[in-house]
Amino acid sequence: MDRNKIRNFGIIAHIDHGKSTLADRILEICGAVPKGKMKEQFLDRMELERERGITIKAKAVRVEYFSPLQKEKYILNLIDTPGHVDFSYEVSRSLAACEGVLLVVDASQGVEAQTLAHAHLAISQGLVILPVINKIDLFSADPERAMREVETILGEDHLPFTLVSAKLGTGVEELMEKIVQFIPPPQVEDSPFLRALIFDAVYDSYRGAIPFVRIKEGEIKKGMEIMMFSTRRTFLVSEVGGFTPEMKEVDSLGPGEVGYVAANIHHLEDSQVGDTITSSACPALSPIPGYKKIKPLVFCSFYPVNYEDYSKLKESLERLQLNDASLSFEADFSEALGFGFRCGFLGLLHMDITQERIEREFGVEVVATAPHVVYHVLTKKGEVLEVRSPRDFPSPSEIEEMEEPYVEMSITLPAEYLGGVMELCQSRRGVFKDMIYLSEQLVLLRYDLPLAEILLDFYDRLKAVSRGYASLEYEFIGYRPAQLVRVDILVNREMVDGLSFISPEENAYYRGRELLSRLRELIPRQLFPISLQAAIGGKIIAREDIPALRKDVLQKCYGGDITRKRKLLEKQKEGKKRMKAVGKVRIPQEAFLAVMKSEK
Amino acid sequence: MKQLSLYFHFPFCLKRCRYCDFVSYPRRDRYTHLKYKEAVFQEVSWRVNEEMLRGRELSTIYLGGGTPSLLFPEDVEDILNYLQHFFAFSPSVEITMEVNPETVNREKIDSFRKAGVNRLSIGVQSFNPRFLRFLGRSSSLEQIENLLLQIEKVRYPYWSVDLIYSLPWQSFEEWQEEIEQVLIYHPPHLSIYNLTFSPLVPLYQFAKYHPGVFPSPEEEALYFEWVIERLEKEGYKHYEISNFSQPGAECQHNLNYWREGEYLGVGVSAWSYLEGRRQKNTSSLKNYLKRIEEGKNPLTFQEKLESYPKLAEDIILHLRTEEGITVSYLLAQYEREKVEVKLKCLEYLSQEGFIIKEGDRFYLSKKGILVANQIFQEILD
Repeated sequence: MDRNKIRNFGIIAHIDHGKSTLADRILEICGAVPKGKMKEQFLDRMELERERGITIKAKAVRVEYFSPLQKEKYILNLIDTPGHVDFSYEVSRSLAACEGVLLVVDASQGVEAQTLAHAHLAISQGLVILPVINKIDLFSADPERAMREVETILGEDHLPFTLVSAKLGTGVEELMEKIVQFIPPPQVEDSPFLRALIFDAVYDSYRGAIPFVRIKEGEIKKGMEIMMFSTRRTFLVSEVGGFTPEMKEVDSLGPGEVGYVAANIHHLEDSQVGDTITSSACPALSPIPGYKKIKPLVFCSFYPVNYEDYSKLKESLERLQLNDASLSFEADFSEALGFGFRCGFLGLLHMDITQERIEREFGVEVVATAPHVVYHVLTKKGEVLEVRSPRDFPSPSEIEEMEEPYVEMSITLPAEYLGGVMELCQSRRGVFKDMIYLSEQLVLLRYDLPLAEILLDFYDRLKAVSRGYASLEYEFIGYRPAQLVRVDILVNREMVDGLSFISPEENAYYRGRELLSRLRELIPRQLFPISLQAAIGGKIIAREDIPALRKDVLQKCYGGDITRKRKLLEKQKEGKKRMKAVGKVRIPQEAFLAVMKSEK
Repeated sequence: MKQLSLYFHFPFCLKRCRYCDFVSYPRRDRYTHLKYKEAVFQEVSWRVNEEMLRGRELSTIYLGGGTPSLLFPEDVEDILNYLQHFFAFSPSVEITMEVNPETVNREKIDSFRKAGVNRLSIGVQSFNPRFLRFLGRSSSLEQIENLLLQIEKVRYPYWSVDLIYSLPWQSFEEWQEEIEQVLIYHPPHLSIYNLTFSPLVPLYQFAKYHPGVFPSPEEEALYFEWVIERLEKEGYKHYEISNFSQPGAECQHNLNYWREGEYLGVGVSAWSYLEGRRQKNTSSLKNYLKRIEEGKNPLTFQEKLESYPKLAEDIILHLRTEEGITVSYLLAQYEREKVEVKLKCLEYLSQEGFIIKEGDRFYLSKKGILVANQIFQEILD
């Protein structure tokens, strides 16, 4: 294999800008997929991905391309990347397997926040960027503007733009030529030590976890013993191969090549994205830089709607975890919802997708609590606590310092909505960083924001204040000091465990009141008046009263139909039994959910 | 021998009212009515044999519906004669017939009286044309007033008027006006209920989408408290949650339901309570006629209550009435241990002021009546 004829590249784009369609066209031109067999968006194998039009996990395809201009045959490894912010670590690892990227921008939409984030990732990896302006066939297309915006974000003029319509195939051949011309072949140091980067993995019920790798140096072949750098565990290689796009066995994978390694790896944790594979007989001195153990940032709990589904829910999480190392979960119990699991995710989309997959692929209906973050609390004793639930929040007198996770938020938006968007960011405790005009119409705005603020309803609010035109992207930047308090809810002066929440001090009063007014609606009136109070420490900050039920009487009771009346009463009573009793007061499940859900 | 009541369901009306969930068909042709009557006769003869009721004494008979006043007086006579083949009538037998004003005149109610009916339950519902239209009633205010004027002249020992409140945009003054209107005629008995909708009725959707047009629970409570006070001033006894009567004019038939007495129900959708079993006939006229024709029993449901849930039901039914329930009655019927659990609950409710305890008797307080559903739920298992 002539290394100079290999091109490893990825495609990065904002959701819906046409990444997968472009990939389909490329596969078609290379004859990897016969035209008739072509399912729309071949790379998006998962049903859910196809439905949402996004790629969740990276995929790789190896195709052969004959360049009519160069009169040469090339091997193209197309490494598909996830299109969403939640998976930016996976994106960065995929990009680490490439020498170049196609940066796809919708000609009518222009640059969006995600385009920018991905482009910056690519630049930081030193990749060659080939900008592609897609959807030029659309009536609303403005390729000139899109090109100017791309130049602004990349800080470069005279970029090798290609104007295409992936849908119609226009310009794709020209793009193919640019790929072989501009994207360099793999740079390979001649080293005897094997170093292969894991950029993705799948789980196969017969062969276990199968890492997808890019060989940086050395060679990997059947029968050799390999070692994972992070875990130091060793495995015997049973098969190596490439993607055509189906997996196809080859004798060996050499420097610069992309393929898969089957080695009876039972657990996905031994095949972590970003990790380096080396030879156990002759290990390399250091791994490929950039590996991070992924830590979930966003947590929420899943409870089965039907109690009997608990074990099914557990099984579905275990199954999903086989293919998704970034998903974590542990058993959880809630006063209101019973037994369930506290799950950790990379972000909100990751959470949504996981919930949908559980419901769709495993048929388990779940109640998801609102997402929340992990706070760090340094106690006066010098311990550092990771606080995941209000229950674990220490009393104020024990706290020395507190921290909460922050993200850097990039928002691109039409200039006319700037006022509303900035106001929104300020109201969410945002710290302004900078603002760049990408073109006359398009602004890039950057804020540092507490992650907790985004989990509420930031995205919806942003769409509302910008009439759907703003797009956002954020990146975790670390923990920063915070002033937090635990707000407790007292029902008839009794504290109710499941109703407490953690809030920034400055918003505690507002949120306490807001929750009380929702609880007032959700707790049905009962035979006794109910007082609701919100308190911080021992101090009451808000109060609402639910007056006693004045009238509830079934007056008509005739015709001897006693059975139906009794059943009606029994049904109402059944409903009450499902509520949680706090003293004399019965609190329905919805009330407990209200505290976990964001405000309307 | 225990006393027995009989309920006869007549499932035809001129048209259906929008709020009504009783089984009724808008059929007025006499042929259908007569055919139905014959089918019920057939059912009576079977049921009497099956349940070994022959010779039992009937203390009350109730012709309900539907609109049984669509029947001709000779039909009513026929029905009562037929029943006398099987049952003895108690000397003080109460024979009630439900009457809708648009279906009768003075002559007709006179003839019903002669046929043996001694109590009329008149479906007035409202004296306000706006509400009559809303409810989809077939009667006009004029027809209502005429009937009420006539009834005083015809010698009915007992009669009753039904009224509904909690109607759309009904003000307190409008409700007071309804009561003052009815009091002009001095009815011996009044049944008063708030408008409720079962999901089966056309107005259910309306109520679901426009909850704001109806008086709030606070207003309803006010209307109800006022009417209790007003009627007591006129000498009425609030002897059951929705019923008021002059002394001695209580509806014996309904009291029998609340006292867990036995009754045989015949006709479409009728309920029976015999030997601790609750039974129900099919709710479909077509099926009813078909089954009778095929010589089959029209029952579709039967349950025998275990003694424990029956205990709760017994207490709840009794608590609907002014007389309430006595400890001695319960101890005579049920195991002491189980009764004591319920007594604890009753004691607790009486401490909270929802129930009044007097000697060994418990009954709902004024405050308790207003939230009776909640109280009953506490008593259920």
